[in-house]
Amino acid sequence: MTLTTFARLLGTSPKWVLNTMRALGRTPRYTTSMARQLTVTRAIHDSVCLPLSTSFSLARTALRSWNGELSPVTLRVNAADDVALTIDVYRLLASLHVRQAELRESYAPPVRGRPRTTPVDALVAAADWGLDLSLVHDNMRKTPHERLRQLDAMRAFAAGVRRSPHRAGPTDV
Amino acid sequence: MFETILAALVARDIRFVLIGGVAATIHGSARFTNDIDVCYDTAPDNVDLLVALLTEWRAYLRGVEPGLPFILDLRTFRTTPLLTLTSTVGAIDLLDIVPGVGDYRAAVAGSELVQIGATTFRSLTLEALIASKKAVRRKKDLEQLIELEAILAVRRKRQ
Repeated sequence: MTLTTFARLLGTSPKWVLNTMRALGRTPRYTTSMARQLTVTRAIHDSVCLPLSTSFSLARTALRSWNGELSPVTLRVNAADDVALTIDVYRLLASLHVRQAELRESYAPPVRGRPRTTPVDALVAAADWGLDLSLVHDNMRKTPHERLRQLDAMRAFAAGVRRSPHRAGPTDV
Repeated sequence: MFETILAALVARDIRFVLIGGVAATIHGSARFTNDIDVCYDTAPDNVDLLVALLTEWRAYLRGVEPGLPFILDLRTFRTTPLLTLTSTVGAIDLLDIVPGVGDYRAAVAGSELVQIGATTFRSLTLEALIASKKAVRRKKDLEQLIELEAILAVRRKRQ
């Protein structure tokens, strides 16, 4: 995981990650377990304004005490045991996993460089790219309904291949 | 699958605009896509309808291990600009903002009505789809952009 993706996973900026790691005196390690602890740390720090180091240590305790259920975790904050903090660990981790799914399934860094500015004939550009324009022309003759049905059929075929017990391996070639 | 999803969204009166690969297919793209992308109205009544439908479809996060904490509710929708889900009817991506186009209202303005069988819904226009692909600038989007611009050129030549 890079700094950018790690920050995205936490729903924050890379600068926040670097500053927090420095404040905690930690070498940046962009792992899922660190993301879990920092997610809870950030929630504590932002909502009750406890120092980062205290929030980080409370987050570790909260994650250790959490039994994987929906019910929130309650932690004693001071030595006298008269102040408690209730943390909805399940909710915090759920939002982390939503971002994790988005990162794995959808995120890709933008392509670097400036987009082209000189107008190019789109059909020439497509042919140069290697696009089979006959497929485009063929699709244009179909109705939107037929195009969608074709996509559904392709998806069903791909799903069938994935489910197939026999797949062509190197020895089958 | 895609027809089933679209028909269910329309039947439940969910306000949405079809975007992404399936919208591109409707315009004539030959590229394969495995998921359906939808931009939804973030009004609480609409999100409640979406949550109810997705719960029926046993929607869960796509690409993460099963059994991890996940709550499908209004709060999750409010804090998440993009939800990537898998369900009993297939993979669904839900966005509150379309890059290069804007929120649901802007998406409606950049959309047109499409009829598939007995189902009528809004889908991004080819021009708006091109704008969204240009804004994202991922490698796969730039590849699709070339095809979408070719489709637009073919369409203009025919007019």
